[in-house]
Amino acid sequence: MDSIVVSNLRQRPLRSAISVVGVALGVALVMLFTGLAHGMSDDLLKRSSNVSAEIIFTRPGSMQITSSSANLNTKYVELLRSVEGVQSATPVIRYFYPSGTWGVDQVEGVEWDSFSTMNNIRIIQGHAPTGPDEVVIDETKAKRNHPVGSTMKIFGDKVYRVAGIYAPESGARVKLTLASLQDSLEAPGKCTFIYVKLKNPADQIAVAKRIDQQFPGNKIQLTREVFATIENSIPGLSIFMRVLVVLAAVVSALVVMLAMHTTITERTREIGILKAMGASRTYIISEIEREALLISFLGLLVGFALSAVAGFGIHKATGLIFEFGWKWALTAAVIGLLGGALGAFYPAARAANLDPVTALAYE
Amino acid sequence: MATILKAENLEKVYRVGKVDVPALRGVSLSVQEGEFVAVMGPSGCGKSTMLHLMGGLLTPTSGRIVIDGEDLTASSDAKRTDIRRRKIGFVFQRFNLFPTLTAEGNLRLAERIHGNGTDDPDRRREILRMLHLEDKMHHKPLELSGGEQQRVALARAVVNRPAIVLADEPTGNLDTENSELVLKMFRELNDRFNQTIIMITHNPEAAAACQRIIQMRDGHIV
Repeated sequence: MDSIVVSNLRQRPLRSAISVVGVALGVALVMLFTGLAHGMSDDLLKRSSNVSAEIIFTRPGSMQITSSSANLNTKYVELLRSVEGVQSATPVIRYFYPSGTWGVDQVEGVEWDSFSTMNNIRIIQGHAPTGPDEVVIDETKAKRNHPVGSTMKIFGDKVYRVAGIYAPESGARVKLTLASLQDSLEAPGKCTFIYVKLKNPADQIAVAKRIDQQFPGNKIQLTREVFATIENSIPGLSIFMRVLVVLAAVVSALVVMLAMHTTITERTREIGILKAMGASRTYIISEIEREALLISFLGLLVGFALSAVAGFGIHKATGLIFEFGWKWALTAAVIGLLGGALGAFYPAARAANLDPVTALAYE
Repeated sequence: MATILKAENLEKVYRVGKVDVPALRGVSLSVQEGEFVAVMGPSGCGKSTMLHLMGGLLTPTSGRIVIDGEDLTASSDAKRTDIRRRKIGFVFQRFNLFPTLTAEGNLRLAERIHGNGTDDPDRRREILRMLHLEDKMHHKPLELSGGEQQRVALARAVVNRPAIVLADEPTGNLDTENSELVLKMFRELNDRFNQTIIMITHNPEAAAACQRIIQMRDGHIV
């Protein structure tokens, strides 16, 4: 083996391994957070896409992905059903509450018959919720130790019984009767929004205008537009991602810089020998940069593997969905390599500027 | 014979704290192509400083050094590095091989630095045969004896056909038997390849192997 780069890495396996793990952590950080964030938003989008309604009728400001209000009077359900072009309307309360598993969870209160008919949802096991303490859940939730007949706690300590399992998944994974959720929230006669299904989906613009004219002061949104912007509607998500990417780059760069600084101090005498042999500054910098890039590349591979394993583990343990994205993988790769190259540059330049006689005398 | 190295009135003063310490006080010498020159003198007389100046590792306080027609003292640091790369081979007392590389790796590294990847296997084989190192090529320095390590260092110094080999007490860390072996190799290199060699030594027997002996004392050639 006559490659000074590879042989240096092999000479100090522990230091090399720690450097690789350092870069890998930065890469895994980016992959995991972005993968989980996109996995979650895509999962929401997928579940939302099973909603057949073309229009969502609500009060201004209440229909956000994080909304928890029940400020819309359910009297509008009947009124909307009478609007020309409307086939059906069904009220929904969407409620977010603190959860021990991943910070926040959501439930929906629905009028099961009209809701399931509108969205082609069927009970595949058990029965629809009827009593105030009954819920139905989707298959994903059921796989996480919630068979029919089992109990689960919602809103803290309130115990509900799983009456049935529905498919396909749509909106919140846990649904209870509208009356039960109204009662729990002390919001009788209220809902968060009303799904409106049209006789002819192609007429949605015209019908939306008609509803707006008949019930001014409310908010009419097209379902396709609401769900297309789910990711953007999570406050600060894109800023969070960018901050994370910068942090990961800084971590990678610092780890490589520390590793290369240490290795250059250890190899001061060897740098003196290189200089005595006529190695130019550029040559010395490029050798050190090659070593840093090799560390970074190995860190990338380990980081991808680590994020895949961690993503799988997190999904198994918490149900969160990890989504591998090529765009973010590429970003993580650039961060890992660029962070490594930048981190190594200062120690490399320092090595290249060492006085050769002093370096040769280094013990 | 052409003059391969010419040093004129070399002075070197080190600044230690607030005190100036002169190491060379006006040294002039000429070395002809193919000469094998020994430099002797007591410790601290300026031998190593002179060798480092001739190799472009240090710059003189004043004076001039011309190597193979190129003025080392008028050159920038990058240019001096380039001259060192093309024209000078160093051999050190402590061998200074790369411990993580095999003997062959050390030679290839020197070739890479010299020629940006050019490879001359015939030259390498010839040198290795002459230095009796053919069967040691895949050994790392710690697997070689002191004499073998110094022969690898010598092979590394000459593999790129430098104009001058500068050797700083090359037998200083060797026992008598290995010292003689290494000196024999220096002589052979000088005889067979007309290699110019300037060798610092404390050993009169080693100096006796050279064609000319330069004595130094207190920063002067005496």
